[in-house]
Amino acid sequence: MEEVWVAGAAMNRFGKVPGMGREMAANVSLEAIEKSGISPKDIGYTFISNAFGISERQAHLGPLINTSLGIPEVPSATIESACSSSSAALHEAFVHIAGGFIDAALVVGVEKLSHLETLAATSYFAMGADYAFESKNGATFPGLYATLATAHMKKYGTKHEELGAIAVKNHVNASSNPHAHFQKPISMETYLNSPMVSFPLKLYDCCPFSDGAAAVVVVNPAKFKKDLKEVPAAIRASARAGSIAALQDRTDLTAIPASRLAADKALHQAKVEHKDIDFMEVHDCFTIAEVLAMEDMGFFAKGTAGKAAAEGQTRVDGKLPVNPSGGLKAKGHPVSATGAAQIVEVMEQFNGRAGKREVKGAEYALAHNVGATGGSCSVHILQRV
Amino acid sequence: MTMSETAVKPQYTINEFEHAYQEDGKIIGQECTSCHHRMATQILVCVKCGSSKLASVQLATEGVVRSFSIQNVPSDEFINDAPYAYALVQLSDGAVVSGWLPEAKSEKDIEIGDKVQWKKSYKVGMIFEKVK
Repeated sequence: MEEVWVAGAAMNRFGKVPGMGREMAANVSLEAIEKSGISPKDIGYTFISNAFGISERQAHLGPLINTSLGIPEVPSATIESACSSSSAALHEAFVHIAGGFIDAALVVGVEKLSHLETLAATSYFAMGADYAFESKNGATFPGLYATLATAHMKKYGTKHEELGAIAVKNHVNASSNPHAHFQKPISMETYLNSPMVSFPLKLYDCCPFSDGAAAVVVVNPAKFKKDLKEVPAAIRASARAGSIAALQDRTDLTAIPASRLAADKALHQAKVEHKDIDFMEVHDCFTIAEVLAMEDMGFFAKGTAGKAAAEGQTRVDGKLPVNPSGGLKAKGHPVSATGAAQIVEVMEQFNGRAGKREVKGAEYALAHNVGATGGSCSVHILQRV
Repeated sequence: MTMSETAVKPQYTINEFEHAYQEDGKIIGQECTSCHHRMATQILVCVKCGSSKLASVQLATEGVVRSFSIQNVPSDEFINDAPYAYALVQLSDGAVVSGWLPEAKSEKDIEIGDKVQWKKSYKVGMIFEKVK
C-alpha cells in the first residue's frame, strides 16, 4: 500500500456566502492546490461532494470544477454520504492513491443553502434520514438528534449545562478561527436562555445552516515529496462504517454504532491508541453529537463525556482538545464541506497557523464525520510529518 | 444455500405500509422466521441474524414511548402542526415504529415510558395518542 499525505487544504469563511456553490468550490480548490506545491495538471482524480446541489439546479459538479482549474480531461465523480460526504470523498481519494491507481487527488466539498428559507433548508436537512419511515412520521433532523438526547439524558442524567459547556467551548474556539461562521463567544446564560428548537435541544445546541466550501489535496509522497510547500499530514488511517439507518430499528438510542466501528478500525489501521491522539475534530452538528462521538469512539466512558466537557477537559488547553476549530456547532456546517473542513483545521494546526486555538505540540489528530444520524461515518487519523 | 436461492420479494411495499395504517387501521411489519426479530421498515434480510426468510405480520397498535422530541421547527409537511412530539414507540409485541403525537405540545405532555396507542387520522404520518 502506498503512503498518502495531505499536502494542502483550504476553505472559505463559512456563513452566508454570495454566488453559487461551484464558484466557492473552484476557488478553494485552486487555493488548496497552490498551497500544496503541486500543479493542477498533477491531479489524477477529482472527488466532489455537494449533497444539496440540486437546490441550485446543479449536479455533475466535477467537470465544472475541473474545467475551471484548466484540467477538463481529469476524471471526476460526486460522492454523497449526507453530512459525511467529503470525508467519504477523502476516503475514495485515499483508496485510489494507496492502491497505486493515481498519485494525487483533489477532494472538494461544497454547499450553498442560504438562498433557501428556513422551512426549505429544514426539509433538505431531513433528507439524510429515512423519509418514508422517519421524516414522514414527523421527524425533523434536529428532532432525531433530540430524540437521542432525550434517551441519553434519561439513561445517564446528562444535563443541559453539560451540553451548554460544549456550545460555549466551541464558540470560544471559533472566535479565534477566521474561517468560522460564528466569531463571538457565548455565555452559559445565553445558551440556557436560547429558544427551544426541538426539546431537549435549544437553539445554541444546534449548528447553523452555513454556506461554504473546503478542499483537500492528497498525494503519494513517493512522487511529490520534493514539491510540497506545507508541513504535510500523513493519513495513517482512513476508515468508514455504517449503522442501521432509522433510529427506530436500533437497539441503543444513546450511541451511534458506526462511530465505534469506524474508530476501532481507524485506531487499528493507524496502530495507535486513544492516548496517542492529541486533538480531535468530531461531528457536533448538535451538542449531544459531540457527547456521543467522544463516548462512542471510546475516549470517555458512556455517560461521562458531558461531565468531562463541563470540567474543561476538552478545551484547547484541556486533556483532550475537541473541536479546536469551533466544530460544526460554531465554525458552521455546510453539509458536504464539513469533512474536508475538518482536515483544513488539522493542516492549520500542523502548520502553526491556529493562533489562540493552537494545540501545542500536536502530532496525531483524529477527524470524525457522521452522515445524518450515523447511517454512515468516517474516521481519519493524521500524523504530522 | 446462496442468497439468490433464498431471496424473496418484500412482504409489502412502502405504499402498502402507509395504506395499512391510514385506511385499514393496521400497522404491518415483518418478522424474521428464524430469530423472530420484528421491524416495520423496508427490509429484505434480517439485520439481526441475516436470514432472508421474513413473514409479513400485523403489529400491535399500542405500546410505550422509547424516546421523543418536541418539534418547534417543523419540515414543510408539518408546517401547520408544530409544536408536536415525534416519538419512537415500542409496540407491545416488540417492533418499534416512528410516530407523532399532535397533542403533546411540550415536554410536560410526554415522557419516556408513557403508554400510547395508534389513532386514525386524515393527517400525514402515523399518529399516536396517550392512553389515559
